[in-house]
Amino acid sequence: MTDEALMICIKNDDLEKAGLLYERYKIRLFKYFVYRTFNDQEASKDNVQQVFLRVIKYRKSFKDDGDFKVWLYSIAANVKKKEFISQQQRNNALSAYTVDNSYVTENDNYKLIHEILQRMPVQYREVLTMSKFWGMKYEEIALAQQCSVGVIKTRVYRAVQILRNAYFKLI
Amino acid sequence: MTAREIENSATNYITGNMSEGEKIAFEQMLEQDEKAKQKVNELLLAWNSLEISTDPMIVDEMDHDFYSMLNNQISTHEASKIYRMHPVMYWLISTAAVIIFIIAFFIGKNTASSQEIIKYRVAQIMKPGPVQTKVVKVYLVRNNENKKQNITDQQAPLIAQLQSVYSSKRISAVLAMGHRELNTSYLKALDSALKHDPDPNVQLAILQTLQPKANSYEVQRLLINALPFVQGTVQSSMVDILLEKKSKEAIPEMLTLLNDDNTDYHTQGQIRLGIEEFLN
Repeated sequence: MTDEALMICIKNDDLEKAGLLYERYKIRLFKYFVYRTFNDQEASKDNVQQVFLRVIKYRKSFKDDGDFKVWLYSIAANVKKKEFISQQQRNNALSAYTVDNSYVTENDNYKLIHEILQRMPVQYREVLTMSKFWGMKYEEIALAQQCSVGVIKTRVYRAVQILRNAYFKLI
Repeated sequence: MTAREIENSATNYITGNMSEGEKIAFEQMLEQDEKAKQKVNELLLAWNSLEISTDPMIVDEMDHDFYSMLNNQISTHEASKIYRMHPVMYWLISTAAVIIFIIAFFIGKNTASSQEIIKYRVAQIMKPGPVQTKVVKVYLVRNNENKKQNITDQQAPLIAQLQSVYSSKRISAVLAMGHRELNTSYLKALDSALKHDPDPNVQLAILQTLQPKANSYEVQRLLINALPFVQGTVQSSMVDILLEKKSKEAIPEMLTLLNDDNTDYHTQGQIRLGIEEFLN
């Protein structure tokens, strides 16, 4: 069964099918959030939960001719946006306290990736994560970003070039 | 293939934007072109560096959380399905309720009691001299009467004014009627007022209004019928009008008054003289 067919079943209140979609997307969603939360795996786990909760809650809003991957991406992006806002509020609340010593616990693998992606302009970083973590094709990225396929092709090409240059500079 | 074309194809290759046929052709090309192969390997190395390792324990926890949430959602959904009414049923019940309400409203409207309600105000009329108190019922409102008589909008205010508690208003209503054509509803109202109005001035005003039209049969009948209801000056004035118009139909009623001891002495003499003139 395709993702869209499963989603239509869920839309028609066959909620058990959500388990199949979860198995297909859990790892890529998790990785997407790990990257977006700077390797905060606990927060990423909760975000994946939030995404699937919304999939079930807003199942009726899925269009029968819609692309499931694009729809799921839009939900994930919204969850991330909300998480980012609440994170900022927490940081503002904590800024009143001074910390003498702070320690950043990042593994070397992630540190390298983080540095590479941080050097990349936002539009390239976004298409790169959509392609790498979501496995989206050019057409799907274009649909999600509301751009032409040509623009997305160019962005992915440039993002890969920047990635390569940054990678070989850093190692 | 130019370097740019190779890089484009390599990007499509590593990002999974190639069909199976294109992929095989591209891999065959790489086997023959060592330089291109090296470029693609560089890109693949950088691309694979983005891989993030996932902690299996975290993934297990994530699975556990998800299936708990899913089971919870399923049980909530099943429970809500039991109590949820089908939308069509909901609309049917609502429509039936509205229809029943409308039917009940019209049935109630058509079967409601249309009993006539008459309102009276009790007034005490104090007369000078020896204490005399006369209690009269002043006829104020008689509902449905206007509907039954089918009166026009112009007639209604005068007839309503004729039922006022103030004599001055009743007199002005009577005089105003004199300037209009006396139709059945006016005559009926004047007849009632002539018989029942407690103020002789109003009765005299009615006679003044009716006198110019006393040639008509209806007015004469009205005066004859009202004769036993009035007394004194008013009765005397009515006898005058009827004798002047030589109303033969009034003779039996006048003879009754002549033989009635309660009739004013002056009025009896007036009747006697009038009948004699009649006979001569």
